[in-house]
Amino acid sequence: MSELEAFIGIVILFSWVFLMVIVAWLSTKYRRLSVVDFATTGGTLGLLTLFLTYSATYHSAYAFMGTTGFIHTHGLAAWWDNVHWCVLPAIAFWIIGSRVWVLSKKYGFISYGDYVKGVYGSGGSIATALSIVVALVGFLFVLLYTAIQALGIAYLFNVISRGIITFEIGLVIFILLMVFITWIGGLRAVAWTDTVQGIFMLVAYIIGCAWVASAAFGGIFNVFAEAAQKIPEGLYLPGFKGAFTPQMWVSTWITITLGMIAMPHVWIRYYAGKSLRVIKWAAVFTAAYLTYLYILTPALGLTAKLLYPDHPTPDKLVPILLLEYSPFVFAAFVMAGALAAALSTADSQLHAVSTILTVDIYKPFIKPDADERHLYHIERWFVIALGVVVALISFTRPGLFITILAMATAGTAALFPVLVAPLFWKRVTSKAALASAILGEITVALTTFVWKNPLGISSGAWGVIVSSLVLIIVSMATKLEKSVEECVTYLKAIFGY
Amino acid sequence: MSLSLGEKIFYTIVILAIIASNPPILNLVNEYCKDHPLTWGIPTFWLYLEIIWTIVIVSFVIAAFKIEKWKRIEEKVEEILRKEVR
Repeated sequence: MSELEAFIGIVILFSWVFLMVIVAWLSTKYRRLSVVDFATTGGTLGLLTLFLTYSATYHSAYAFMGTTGFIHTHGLAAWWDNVHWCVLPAIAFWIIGSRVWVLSKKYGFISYGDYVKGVYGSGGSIATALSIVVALVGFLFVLLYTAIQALGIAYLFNVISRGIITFEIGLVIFILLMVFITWIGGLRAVAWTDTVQGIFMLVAYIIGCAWVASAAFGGIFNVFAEAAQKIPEGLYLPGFKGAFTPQMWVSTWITITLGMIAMPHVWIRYYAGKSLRVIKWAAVFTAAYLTYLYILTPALGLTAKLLYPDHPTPDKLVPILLLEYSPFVFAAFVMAGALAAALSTADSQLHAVSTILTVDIYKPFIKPDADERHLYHIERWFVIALGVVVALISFTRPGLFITILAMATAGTAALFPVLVAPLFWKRVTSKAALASAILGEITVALTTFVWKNPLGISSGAWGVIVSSLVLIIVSMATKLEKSVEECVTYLKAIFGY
Repeated sequence: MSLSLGEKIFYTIVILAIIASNPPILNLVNEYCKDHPLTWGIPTFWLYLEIIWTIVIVSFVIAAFKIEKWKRIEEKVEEILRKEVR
């Protein structure tokens, strides 16, 4: 029976891998051999593709595995701090994304650093230095994030195949698939596969949650009733461990919301819409998708806590519950949904970091006269090279990288003021932005490693506070810059504010 | 700053939702949840936040349909882009 299950598991898994390869390959029908097309599809994504690539990219393996682990560790009440970073980034997709999209049409931005270099352009060498800082911060955190996704999924491959696919082989399959999708079609292939994966992960996850809760306790309401009796402290703050104090509640959602909006793989999607109308509706659908994907997560998370109250690695409870409380074939399908969640984020991240290297580092500093076609080929080489780097990081599984990863959203949150201020405030200057980015990142590092979460406030929130204050104070003390003024005036003429 | 009435209403709803789902208001709700962990068989704390943010999402849908200024912006940008392409 176990051998048959392993065979079925492997067939389901490879069917999914094969389907993704086919979808990615089909997307190449519309491919153009230019870096603009590779990085942003040239702004051609329609509503369904843009909304699902944004949503599927946003929800990583954490959505499938980590949320249950979070509820197990901190309780249901603490976990639903999530609702802030489900809805607010979608609204930001409209308010901020629409402005970034307009500027990308006017100035031809296709990456993270070139946006910064463009809007702060009057700063000259300061703007160049700023673009390097922003690009490197985004690059470092996103690359490590990608490696961690790969680690989580290699474990799932091992479980689905009943151990036949070892952790190392699972890792190689996942990384090869991620590299292939990104390499063959750039953002278009990533977005097309995200569309399929976004639909599949939504359906698989919701049905999976309902199935486990029903099989274990006879229905989701029974899970809640049992939880209210046995673990009531998980239903209100500060949660099981007392960690979610008011300060931690507020600072956590501020950090993750702003950090996710400012992540390079999320930011790049602002350039990819076909029109403002598409961006507006993609933002609306994203709000609903990101929130209601979690509609039955409370039942699954509390089921996990009730059945395995002292499990040492709660992030691994989803496959354990599925295998225990649902037929193996069904469990394998749902876990293929977890693969979809991780892959849709990981290939987007690989695409974002290869775009950063090509557009923000290679083109300005190594070959300024490179044409579109040359850059296209270079970016594809970077995809392969970075795939190897991700593999090396994943294989070593170093603790230090995990610690640095903890800084990821905090690190990008500290860049949020620098990225968003020139969309609304003409007084902001490149000198202020550079000081803000550097001091913001130093603050995040200090409050992560030296003085951990001072006053109970998370390191990311400290980073945002310091970077915002520095940005405002130094901007007021330095001379107005023409490029920022032009951007703000242009946007004000269109949006009215 | 020139916000249309529709935008003012929508942004007010978002700000109220943020206020209602954070301390000190959330502390009051949390105290109630300690005595009443479930409402209609559903965790009260989760239900409270789910309802608040569902109102925001519904408002966003209505805003996307109804706010004329957003539609005018879309048309204006289309026109600018057409001119630039020409």
